[in-house]
Amino acid sequence: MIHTTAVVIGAGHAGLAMSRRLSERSIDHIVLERGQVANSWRTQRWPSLRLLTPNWQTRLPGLDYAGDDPDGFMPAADLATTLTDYAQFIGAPVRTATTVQALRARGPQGFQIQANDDLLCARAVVLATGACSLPAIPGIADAIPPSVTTLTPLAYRDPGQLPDGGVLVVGASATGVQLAAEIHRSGRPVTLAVGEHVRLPRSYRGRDIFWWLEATSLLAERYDEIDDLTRARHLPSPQLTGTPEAVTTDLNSLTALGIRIVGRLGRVVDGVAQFSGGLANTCALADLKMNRFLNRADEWATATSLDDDLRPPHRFAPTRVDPRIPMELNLTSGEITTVLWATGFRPDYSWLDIPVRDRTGRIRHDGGVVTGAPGLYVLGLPVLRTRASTYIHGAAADTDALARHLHSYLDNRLSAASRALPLVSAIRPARSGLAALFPRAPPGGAAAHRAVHHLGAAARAGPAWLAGGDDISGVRAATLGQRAGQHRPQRAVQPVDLLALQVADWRAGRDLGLPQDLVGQQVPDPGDLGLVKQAGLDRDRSLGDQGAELGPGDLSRVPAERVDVGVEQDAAEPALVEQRQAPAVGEPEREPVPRGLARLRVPARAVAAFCGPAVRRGDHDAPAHAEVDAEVRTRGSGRFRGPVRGAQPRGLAPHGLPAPVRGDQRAPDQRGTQLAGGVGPADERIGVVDGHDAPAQGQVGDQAAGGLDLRQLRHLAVTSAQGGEPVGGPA
Amino acid sequence: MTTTDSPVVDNGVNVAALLGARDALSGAPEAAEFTWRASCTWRNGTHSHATVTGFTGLGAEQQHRTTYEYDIDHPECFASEDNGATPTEIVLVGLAGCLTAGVAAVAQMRDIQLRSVTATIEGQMNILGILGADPDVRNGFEQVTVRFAIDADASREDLEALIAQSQKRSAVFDIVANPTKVLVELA
Repeated sequence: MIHTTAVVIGAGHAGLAMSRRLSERSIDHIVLERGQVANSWRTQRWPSLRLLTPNWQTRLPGLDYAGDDPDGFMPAADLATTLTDYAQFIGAPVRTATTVQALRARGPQGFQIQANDDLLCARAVVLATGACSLPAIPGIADAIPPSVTTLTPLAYRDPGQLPDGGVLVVGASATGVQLAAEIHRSGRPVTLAVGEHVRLPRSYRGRDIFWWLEATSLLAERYDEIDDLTRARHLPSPQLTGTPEAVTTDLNSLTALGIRIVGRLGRVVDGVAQFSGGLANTCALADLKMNRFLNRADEWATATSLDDDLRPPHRFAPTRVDPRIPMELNLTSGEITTVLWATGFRPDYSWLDIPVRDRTGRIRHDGGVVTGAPGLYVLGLPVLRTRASTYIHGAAADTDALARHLHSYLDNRLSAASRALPLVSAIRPARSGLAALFPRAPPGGAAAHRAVHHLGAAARAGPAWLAGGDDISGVRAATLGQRAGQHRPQRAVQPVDLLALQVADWRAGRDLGLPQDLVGQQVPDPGDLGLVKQAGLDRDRSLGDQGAELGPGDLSRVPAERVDVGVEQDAAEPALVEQRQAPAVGEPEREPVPRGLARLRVPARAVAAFCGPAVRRGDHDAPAHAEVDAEVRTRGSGRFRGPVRGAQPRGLAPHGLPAPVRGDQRAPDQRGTQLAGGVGPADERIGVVDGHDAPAQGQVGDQAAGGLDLRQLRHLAVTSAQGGEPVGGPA
Repeated sequence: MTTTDSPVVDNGVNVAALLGARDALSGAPEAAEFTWRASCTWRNGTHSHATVTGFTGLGAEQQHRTTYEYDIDHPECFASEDNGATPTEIVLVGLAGCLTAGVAAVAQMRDIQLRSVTATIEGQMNILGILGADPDVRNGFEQVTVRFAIDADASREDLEALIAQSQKRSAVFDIVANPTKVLVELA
């Protein structure tokens, strides 16, 4: 029996990000991984797959992209490498080749995990196995004639594995359109069955669509402010492809390739596939929703005085639907030799022996806090906490919030006992134990240090666990006696700042530890108070993948009035083509951020006024120092840099999330949150908006109600017109 | 739902009730299982008489306010007596009625005041199929076209979105456009 405080199941981007967050809080934990780090990216993704999101957006807690192709799209294999580097960088205590067979509740003691032949006991468990473990195949698959080869995207590698002949690709979301194009180019004529889909252009007005989604705060939209959360969580992934050429992959372009578009596959009778006659409306809806988002984008550009930096607005051609498309296709004629089910994915919780799933098998959760199982959390699901949760970079904020909740949960469980006992504040857990599970340091031992060196200058400057997250500026602001509102701290970690930080921690009776120190520490007993109240425990604040979704619907929060936003007038925007070229070495403005945004000096008041409900407390990084960060960043080396934050448009698309602890809760040693920007969980009801700094807060009262009892069902009762429309499944 | 101070839009649709039902049924999925019924009695020739009285839903047997009756027949050019609409026309009636109801409901939710809505619906059919004269011709419609004339306080774009959404949420649109398993058996 192995005891640990927390177990994270899954060492993908979300699980690793959570490991980082737990280490930041000195919560000892183990990450269980059935294969190796980033296993699904290694073994269940076809080689040509690239992320839908541009490289500049591929960021993890403490790690931002700093490579030479910020506007490129990362291949799956590179992401796997990146995640492996990240696991070393953060010293994640990953136990690889460990398959979880069962997870059970273990009374008040927490949870029991059976993995391989071991039993683990933990007080908290984080499910980070991802949303795409299994293919979601419709029941009609059983009716496909046996003469036809069928396969799923998880098994697909390249067209060469398919027999010659025609291919019916079922489903036209990101996976379907990508594979349809790739297979068709191999000389196998493709028929694409199209159900409900999300159409988005790869770029618009010279910027990548994800630049727009982030800039307009759409991705920051929180799960508890989305009118129809069920719909949002089940939207199919957008019809996008990450290609070096950054081309748009919509139905019109596929038609131009020669791919035959048909309606949703309805059923197969006597070997004959029957398709929906509703394709025209399906396409009309997708066009309408795309244009709704583009309207919002244009309004935003005008409101932020960015029109001069962008190409002129335009609209894309409506989806052409050939009125002669077949309604039927005989699968026994030999014309179609392969059916590829690009019909979506679903999580695999077959090993979960805790009754937390609804009748459809989905885990009931409130922003990742699993309902009815205190101490259990889930990560990496679409729109888990924000629309960004669907994508890799969303894990940073999600894990921050959930780690805080988890931390609070551990504290609260023991609060009664701890009142009766002296607070043990500086016990370092014994080192032993976990070495039996895996090497104390990640593979290679010093590799973690190498990774730090490789991954960024700032990470090199100090303890890695200090390096990331939004707490840096806030902590430093406090230790240097700065009020964020008076003088914004530079976000680059300088030695002097770290010194001040360490002094501050020393004063607070806290111990600083490298993540490597956390790795390999065995806790004698999970019931040991020393574990929870151990040194370094602090309360500072600090996915998704291509199969997931986003919702360009409900984009109605752009206020009509124009707001005054100061824009630093810089050089004219480079042409789109130029943007995709690799930058010259050391080119300072080659920033892994949306161009334009990084150069903005946007008064927070204007941003707060504009962004409305999407602007949240906890946005500590105003865009005002983008130039400073850009300068510092160039000192880093390698693809990723460490904690230098900045140049992301955080002031415009804040990811700060409210603490899932109640507003009146604050740990005695809490720091960071309340220092940076002057707003902490306890302040949530006050509604502080720091007029000089980043937008501080929106929907104050909403958060004051507290995170532990977030009202997930509220959305159903206040559904708006568009929100009131349940969504069908993917094609 | 809107709680703005804009002029009250009233298309006679109880949106609150619909949304409330959605909310309630999400928590009680078994109550959402409905069975719609009709019975049809042969009179003579191609003439039959159908009635609709009750249905099952919300976990109980439900009754219409009254029994609705329909005569179904074929026109004289089919050598029939033309005592009522053809079955195919009744399908069109069902589709038009469903889409029009959807237009009203969606307009209500989107704060669009309707003044008039008229749907003209056509179904193209080659009757060589039902006559068994050409095996390559299907029995049913080649295509169905619905044309909405809508007078409302809304832009053309909004109205296009309105009818698109109406289709998306229409039962009969789905029934007509998509394959449905049909079992016909002897009692």
